[in-house]
Amino acid sequence: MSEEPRPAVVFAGRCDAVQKGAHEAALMVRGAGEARPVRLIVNGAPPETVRAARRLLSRVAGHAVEVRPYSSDKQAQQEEMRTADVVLVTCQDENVGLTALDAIVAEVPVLVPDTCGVGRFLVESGRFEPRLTEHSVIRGESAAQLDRWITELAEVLDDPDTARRRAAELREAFVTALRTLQSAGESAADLVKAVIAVRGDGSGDD
Amino acid sequence: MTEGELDRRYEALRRAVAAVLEAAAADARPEPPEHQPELDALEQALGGHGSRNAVAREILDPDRHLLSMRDYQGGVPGGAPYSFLAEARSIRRSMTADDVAEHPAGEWPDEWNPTLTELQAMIVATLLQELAARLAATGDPGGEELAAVARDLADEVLAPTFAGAQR
Repeated sequence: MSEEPRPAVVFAGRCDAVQKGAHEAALMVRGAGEARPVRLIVNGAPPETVRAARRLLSRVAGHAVEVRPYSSDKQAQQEEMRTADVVLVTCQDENVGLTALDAIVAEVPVLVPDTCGVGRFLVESGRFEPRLTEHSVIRGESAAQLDRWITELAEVLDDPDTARRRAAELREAFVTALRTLQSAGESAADLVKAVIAVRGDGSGDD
Repeated sequence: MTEGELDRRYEALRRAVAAVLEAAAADARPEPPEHQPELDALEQALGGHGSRNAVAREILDPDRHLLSMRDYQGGVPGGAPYSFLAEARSIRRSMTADDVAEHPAGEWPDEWNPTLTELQAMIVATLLQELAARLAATGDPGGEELAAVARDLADEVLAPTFAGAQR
């Protein structure tokens, strides 16, 4: 009898710079518990550190973590994103949150902090009903909200069908916000405002 | 340890010492034996005439003392065993001083601003974590304290790396 495939939890680092948050992703998977076995795939490690990072992060997660080097192959990253069961954007120091945008467009459940531009845009632009964002955007300082991240991750893993439906609704709302030229312009302006606000808070990366 | 156990271990030690002395006496190489002074002291101790220093010297216990360093500050010949607890407190004091110290950075001398590559930092942290686990396994309270120091340092070294926690 073949073993049931484990849900793929993807932490996607950027393709051109080191991104933090892999440690927190491993903590969240550990927090979700042994009753929810997953494949944690961590992308974006500097190539020479892959082996060392795999050992360290596996220790944190309590089981094997797949660590992959960063790559400039954007298409391959997006393809992997599409096959993920949930994407974690745990970096607190990200101005935009492009990986979250990729996940939303791919209709993949995503957890993103409100400390990045996309997270702030989703909850503060007034363009999205709270019910569409409340399971994806983690409010408050991420480090202090580990329990909240774990709760939302566990919910996705326990009820993947509902999570997929919510992801589809979020994508639809996102596309609607960009459908007309006017709404696209206004949404882009709101997103830029959110990014500028995040930059003003002292974040660093894109 | 019970008194009977102590007696048993003493007897075993006494027999082992006697065997070493017999073997050394029977060995013609080298001439004179390289460790003759130590063997003479051992023979005196076996006969109950050991020096006060030898009797008073604290025995190094791998479950309580550093294996890599001895305490030379107290004037004990050869150095005294250095406890985990003393090392933990010493490092904590140094780290507190380090937190408030100015760290001049510049092109020269490079030693003022030492750096690790990301991989080196990960390896150092992994070794510190292993050290912490071994110290904690001793059951010695000082060992646990030194293990906490090692874990804190591991987190510190890891922080700027891909695998480090965000702050």
